[in-house]
Amino acid sequence: MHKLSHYFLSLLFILSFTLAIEFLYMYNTSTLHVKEKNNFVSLIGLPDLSISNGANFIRHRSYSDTFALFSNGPELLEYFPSTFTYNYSPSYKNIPSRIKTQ
Amino acid sequence: MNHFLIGFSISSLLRRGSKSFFTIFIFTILIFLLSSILFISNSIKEELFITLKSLPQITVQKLQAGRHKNIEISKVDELLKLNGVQSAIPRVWGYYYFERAGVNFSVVGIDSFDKQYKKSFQQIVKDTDFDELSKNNTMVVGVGVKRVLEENYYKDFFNFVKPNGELKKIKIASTFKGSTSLESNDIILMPKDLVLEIFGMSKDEVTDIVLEVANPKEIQTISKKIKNLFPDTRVINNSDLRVSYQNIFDYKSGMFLALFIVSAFTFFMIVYDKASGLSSEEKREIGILKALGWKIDDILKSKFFEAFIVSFISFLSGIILSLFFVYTLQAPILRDIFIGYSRLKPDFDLPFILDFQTLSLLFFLTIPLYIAAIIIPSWRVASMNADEVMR
Repeated sequence: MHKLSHYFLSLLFILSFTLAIEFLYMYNTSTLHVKEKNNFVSLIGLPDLSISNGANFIRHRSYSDTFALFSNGPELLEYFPSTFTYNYSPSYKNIPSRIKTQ
Repeated sequence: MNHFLIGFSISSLLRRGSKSFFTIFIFTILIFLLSSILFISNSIKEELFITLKSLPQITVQKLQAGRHKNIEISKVDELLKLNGVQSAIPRVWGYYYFERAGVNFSVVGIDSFDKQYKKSFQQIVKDTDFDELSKNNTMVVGVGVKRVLEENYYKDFFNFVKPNGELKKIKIASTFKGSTSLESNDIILMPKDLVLEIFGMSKDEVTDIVLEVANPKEIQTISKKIKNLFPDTRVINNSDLRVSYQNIFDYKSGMFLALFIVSAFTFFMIVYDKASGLSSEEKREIGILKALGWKIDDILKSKFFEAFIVSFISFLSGIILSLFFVYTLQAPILRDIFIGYSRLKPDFDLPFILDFQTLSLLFFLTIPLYIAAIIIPSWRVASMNADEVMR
């Protein structure tokens, strides 16, 4: 085998090995605490993560003022349906939903 | 496979050392940035979605003049009469703005600290002293709330200001476990009566009503029935919540995907431009190879190996770096893009999610494009006559 292709294969091997070790290490050390989180959420019953709570429409986006995702956000003009959190209720005035819910 | 061809490609890459190195460097950074954004977005999305099944199946809110208002507690009985509804629980919750620190706490009321909650409590509350909780005027707070209160010299209790200006002193009994901090950081949990008192709400109204449906397939039908029964309500079911979760992250990671497409397109345009106007040296190289008897096939193979080596090494290095950056260093600057500004930031670790979809998206978005951008112009030159190329 050519000397340079030997070096190249070694480099590929080292990179793939590092990647595999990284994957394994992270897979084994990272925990999601699924049970605790589900217990908490079923007790409290509120959606969304508490990563941003400067205002209520940011904290519980899915429960906040009707339809809009960033209702008072200066950076984004509202635009239906992409920035909207909810679909219209299908029965309300018989307007079909424009957001697919699977 | 001809190993000498690979060797030849590597040596021609090494011959153009600084140029090849620069291409690998830029390519690695591009892949690193995009994969980091996608990894962060995936992790936070996973955090949201793992608790989706524990959220209320149906939430009924009242709207008045397009705004959310408190709903009458009498509606609970009417909702319970609907076929298929297993339980209807009136809830009291809201936001308490703590002016000194400029933060919003989410105050949630539950039906006193009842025995039925004992088991859940043990799993989510640190050092549970359940009897202490059962006594009135106590609350359980999130880690973030506790920190903010301590900074403001409220070590064991907090004085809530009621709407009439009176103070309501409530003792801090315990905190939620740190592992739930993404959900519980700003939460204050206390008996319902206390919440009603703090918010100045009357006893016959609640914030919203959550319903449990025996058969999940009936959720949509029951939602429709409620909407027809009470036209002034907004009925949110768990599929709406899922859509809203999806929208939030699609918006942000989509924005970055759009930015990436622009930068990747620029990158490939530069590569294509450089490659299509192959330098006279590179053209001469192809010409000499042809004159030496190399077939177009061999020349293209060697160019393919060159492009593959550059792109694959960049891809692997980009992914390795971004995994380290996101999951070991916890994505120092990029994470703030998703978290945003908040005085009450939770401490949390991004959970590791191995998403093959993301990895294959990145792979097919970068490597084939790069290879094509190298091979096509080389093919154009290689298909010319050797003397024409060298002239």
